Amino acid sequence: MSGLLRVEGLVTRFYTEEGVVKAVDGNSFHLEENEALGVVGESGSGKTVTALSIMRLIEAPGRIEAGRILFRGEDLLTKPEREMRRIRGRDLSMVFQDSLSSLNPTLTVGAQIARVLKHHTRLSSRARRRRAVELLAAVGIPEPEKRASHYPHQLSGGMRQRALIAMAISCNPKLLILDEPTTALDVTIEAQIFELIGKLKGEFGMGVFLITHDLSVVASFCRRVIIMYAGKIVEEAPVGDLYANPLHPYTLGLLRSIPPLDGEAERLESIPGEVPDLINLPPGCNFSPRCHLADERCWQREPELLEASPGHRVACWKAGKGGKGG
Amino acid sequence: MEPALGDGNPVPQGPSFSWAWMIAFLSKRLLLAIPTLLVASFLIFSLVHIAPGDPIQVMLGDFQDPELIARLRHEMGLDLPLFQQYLHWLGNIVRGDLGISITVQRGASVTDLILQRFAVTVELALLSLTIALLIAIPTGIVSALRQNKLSDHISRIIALLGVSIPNFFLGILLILFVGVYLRKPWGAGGYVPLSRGLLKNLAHMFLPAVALGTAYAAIIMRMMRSAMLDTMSRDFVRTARAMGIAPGDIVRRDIVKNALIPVVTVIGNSIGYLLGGSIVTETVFRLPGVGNLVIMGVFRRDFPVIQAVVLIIVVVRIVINLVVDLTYGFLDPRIRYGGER
Repeated sequence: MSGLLRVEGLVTRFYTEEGVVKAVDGNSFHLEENEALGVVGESGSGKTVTALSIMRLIEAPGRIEAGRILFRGEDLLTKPEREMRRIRGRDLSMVFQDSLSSLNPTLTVGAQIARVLKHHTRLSSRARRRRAVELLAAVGIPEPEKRASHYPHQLSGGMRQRALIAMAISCNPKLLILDEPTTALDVTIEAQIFELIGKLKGEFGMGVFLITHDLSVVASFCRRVIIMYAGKIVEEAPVGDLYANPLHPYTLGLLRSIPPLDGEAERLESIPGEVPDLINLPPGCNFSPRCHLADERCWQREPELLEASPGHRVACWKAGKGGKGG
Repeated sequence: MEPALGDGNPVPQGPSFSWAWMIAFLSKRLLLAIPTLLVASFLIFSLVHIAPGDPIQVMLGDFQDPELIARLRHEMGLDLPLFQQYLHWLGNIVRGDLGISITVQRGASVTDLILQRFAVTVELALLSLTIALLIAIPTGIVSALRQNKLSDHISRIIALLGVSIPNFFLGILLILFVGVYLRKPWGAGGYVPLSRGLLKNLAHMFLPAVALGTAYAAIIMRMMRSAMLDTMSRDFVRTARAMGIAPGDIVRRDIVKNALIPVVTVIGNSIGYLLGGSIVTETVFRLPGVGNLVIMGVFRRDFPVIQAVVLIIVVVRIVINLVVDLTYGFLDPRIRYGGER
């Protein structure tokens, strides 16, 4: 099993004036073809940096320090930039958070999609234009012909996000990275967007790497989920397993901070404390300063990500000791 | 496929750039110009009259006959109360009469004096602007793309020099260099109208335009550089990179196109600088332009000439600002279609 994407020991750091930010610290994970993998964590946990590392879009002062990113068996980190440019947008594509700032305000939506096609296909300019309209129709934008000639600010937030998705899938990528694609949208639109992504995933058979801070989104959309905390993967499990049997105290905290849909809501809990400074990480487990289970060992030694049950990995000395729901 | 329904926000309707919108915009702006001009005219008039000096004194020199002085003052209306003089002046302007020169060219209509010289100043300003843009935009782009590399440092140092050297001094240096070392008569003064041949005309206009345009180029170059750097870190540039767009295309359509928007405003706003600079430059190069006229007016206390020229400069400023705003709309679709939302 080579898989679609296999990330091994990825380390990405930012060399700022304040110090070295350990944004992603030695993570390994994999993604199969036509699989949706969710990545959950608070802001600053390294989700986006992981995605940008896969895309090789880390800019100075950031640097990918170590690791391998095997995409369809080939290491992206050894590829020259020219070749990366051919891969990006064609085989490997990404949809960003804020659709308004992620689209060029001075180009029409149609022109922005046609431009991607220009770089990756041999279509004539008329064919590109036609394909752009087809793509807008495919992502459920009404009157695609008319909308293609609109500028981003003339579209609603939901439509802009759809246009951004249309651009990302224009060349049938094998892997689509979605970085919190619905943060700026209403809940109803959010549901529509995920329905769309699910449909496209089925149609094109692409792998989806979904970054979110919303566990409920992951539950309905992904097969497996990775929980990140302060640059490290702390837990990885099939979705059902994670909900039924969360092993890391941080995952437990996250789950407890979601209001249950059924029955009386108990008091919602929040995780005390805040995300550690990525420049001065604690010596032991990154979560130990906020963990109610932490003891001497947690403060001093870093736990490894180990398999607790098949497909379920966790990095915690106290794994499973938090008690389910209690 | 479910049609995308509204997400609660009003969905703006399609592009509808219309002449009606533009006419409404223009008439609103022109109406706003009226109070601006009124205030400006009052300020100009007050300043000219508060400043010491008397045109009659300049005219008569040492020959001081009180009776003659009184008669001349009466003839020119200089014996009336100031406010009455102001209203009189204003009334004439509204009727299109800029007044009669007192000392620069006694009895000549100020309108004629300005018209004779206007072409020279306009040519100087346009030529300087062209030179400035030709230097500044490419340099700014290269500088930003090669941020903190050698070429960036060099162009920034030159830009700093360009801003710091006063243009009259640069003008003198240029005259010296070209006249003494190259032994060419360019810029040695005088002016040949465009109608007598482009090359002959440029021979006299090129150096002044370089002297005036250099500092302007430096200002625009710095602005272009920082606008480029600002745009390069915007999200849509990252999107374009994530889509595998070639770097050249990203520079052209994502970075430069968006960076130009703030730069155009700066270009427009600092055209006032060009007008001010032309006064000094025309004097250094002895060009018979409007700047030269206002300097003569100041030295000889020719109130009508000074007032008229400064007022014209204000009008030009207002018109330029209007043109800049229209250009802005042309570059930025968010403003072009802004009337719709």
